[in-house]
Amino acid sequence: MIQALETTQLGKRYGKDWALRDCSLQLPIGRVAGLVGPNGAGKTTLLHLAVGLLEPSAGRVLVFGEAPHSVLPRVGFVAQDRPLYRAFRVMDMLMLGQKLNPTWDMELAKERLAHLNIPLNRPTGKLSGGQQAQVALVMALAKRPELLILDEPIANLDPLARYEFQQTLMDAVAQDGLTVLFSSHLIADLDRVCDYLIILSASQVQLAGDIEPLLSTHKRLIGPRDREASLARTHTILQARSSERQSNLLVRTHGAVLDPSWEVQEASLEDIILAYLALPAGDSFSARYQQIQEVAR
Amino acid sequence: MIWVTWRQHRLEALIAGILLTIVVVFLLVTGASMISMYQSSGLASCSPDQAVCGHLEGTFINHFNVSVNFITVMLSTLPLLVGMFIGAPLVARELEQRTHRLVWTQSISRARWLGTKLLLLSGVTLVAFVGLTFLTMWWSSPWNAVITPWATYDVRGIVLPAYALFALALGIAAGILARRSVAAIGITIVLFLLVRVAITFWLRPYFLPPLTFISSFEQPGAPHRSDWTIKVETIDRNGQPLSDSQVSQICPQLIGNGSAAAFTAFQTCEKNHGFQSRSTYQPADRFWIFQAIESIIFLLLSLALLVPTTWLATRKIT
Repeated sequence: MIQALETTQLGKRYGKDWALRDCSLQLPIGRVAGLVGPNGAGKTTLLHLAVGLLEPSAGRVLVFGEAPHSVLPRVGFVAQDRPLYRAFRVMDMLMLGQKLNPTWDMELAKERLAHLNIPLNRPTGKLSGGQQAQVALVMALAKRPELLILDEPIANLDPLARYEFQQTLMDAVAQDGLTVLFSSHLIADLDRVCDYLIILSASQVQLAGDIEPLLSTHKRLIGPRDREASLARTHTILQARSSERQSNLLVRTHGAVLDPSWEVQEASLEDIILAYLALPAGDSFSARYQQIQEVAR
Repeated sequence: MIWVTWRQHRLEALIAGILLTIVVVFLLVTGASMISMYQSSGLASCSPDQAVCGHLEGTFINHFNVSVNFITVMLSTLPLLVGMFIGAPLVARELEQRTHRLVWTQSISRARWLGTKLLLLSGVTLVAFVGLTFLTMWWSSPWNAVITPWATYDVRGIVLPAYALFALALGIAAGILARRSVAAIGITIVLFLLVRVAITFWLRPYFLPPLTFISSFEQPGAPHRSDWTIKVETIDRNGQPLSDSQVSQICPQLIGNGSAAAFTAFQTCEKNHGFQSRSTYQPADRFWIFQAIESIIFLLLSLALLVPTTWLATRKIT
């Protein structure tokens, strides 16, 4: 099946340093995916590879089964800091979009900006940060993309602007059913919008999958400390905070937790992500996964 | 893409238009006044052996010297302005403001984006400077007749548009490499002046092997006024060049004494020692060959700058 985005052992190296390494992931069509990871984890590098701004040093990246630069008309991209030509009026930006994109939808662009009360004759440099972000998003949406890629789209916005941005994004998703991939280092951004999660840390993919099964397979367990070892035989302990007698664990479950001495609670998405991000850096996740099991034993 | 280029450069276009208008007005005014004085003073019908002509020429030169020099400087600076304000920021400003990530992720390829901009901007530059060069050809004609056609070599003919294209290419290349407009502008100024000076003073005199003419001091003949005299030196019997101090050591008659008698004594001394004057020069009929050679050098330099840097811009920059 063709994926919206598929990378195979993708790597990007600057000199001796790998900004992204051995990155294999699939983003199915129709998902709204959050790409999270600490600063410097390679999020921007991955997104730039996906829109053809960068060429891979290793592996390959496919967008709708093709090389990124040849599918640019089907991909909307908002770069970090939402760049716009500051001397251009908003209308000039829309004209630029129309001239450079065969699939440009001027009606849609004007309609959305009117809805947001953004004046078309104002230079973009004189708009507020939130309005600039909206113009950048509308530019990407008016291209009528099948895949929308956003690099930290709501970073440095105030809470209201952030909310409004997400609203525009969600409206567009609801109307057009487009695939979205956006990066963020704020996990709170993801809950409202995403149904798919990609975690990148130390230039490698830690996890890529639907959020729903992620929530259902990760649990917070509270119970007696002396039962930890037996629990670890069937389940994977990702994080443990233990007092002398009691353990508070974040666990990736494999089937139901049968031992009645454990109290099972829902884990929040933030807890799960933080647990993965806190795993020691170095080798690949699967190796680390083993290691955690060893330690648990 | 044409609209985008126009929208991004319309301010520069306006400023360039104003500057060009000023230059054109200046050329028209001084040109008309030079031609009218050249005709009315009788210079046009002068033959070189008439004594009065020397006087007329002197008056003419004194009268227009300042404005011709001023215009020459202005016309030599115009190409540099193209490189500084159109070439240097072309890619650098996009990189500075990160807008390259916006414009390079629309539906057209980077190569087309850069290619269209390059074609349009160099096209407009070419048209403007070819127009200018036609005007300076007319403007400089009396000056060339009085001094030498080589006097206005730098501001007319095909080299002027070639300088402008080179400045544009240099600016663009510097912008791609420096990634900052201000740094790129600085690099453009320094390199443009360096290359212009180097070619003018070190290469141009030797585009083709210069001719020499040896004359005794009594009857100076060639090179003619329309030739380009590169240097005149005194040589001894064996053809070895002598420095001024060597000459005045051997024939000290002129030192501290400018009288006619001293001059005659000096000439006699030189004659007795067999000294002669040797002129190194480029003949008048090489003017257009030189213009062609120099233009080709500047165009090749432009290509040498643009090919690797545009490759870099379309493939490597993020």
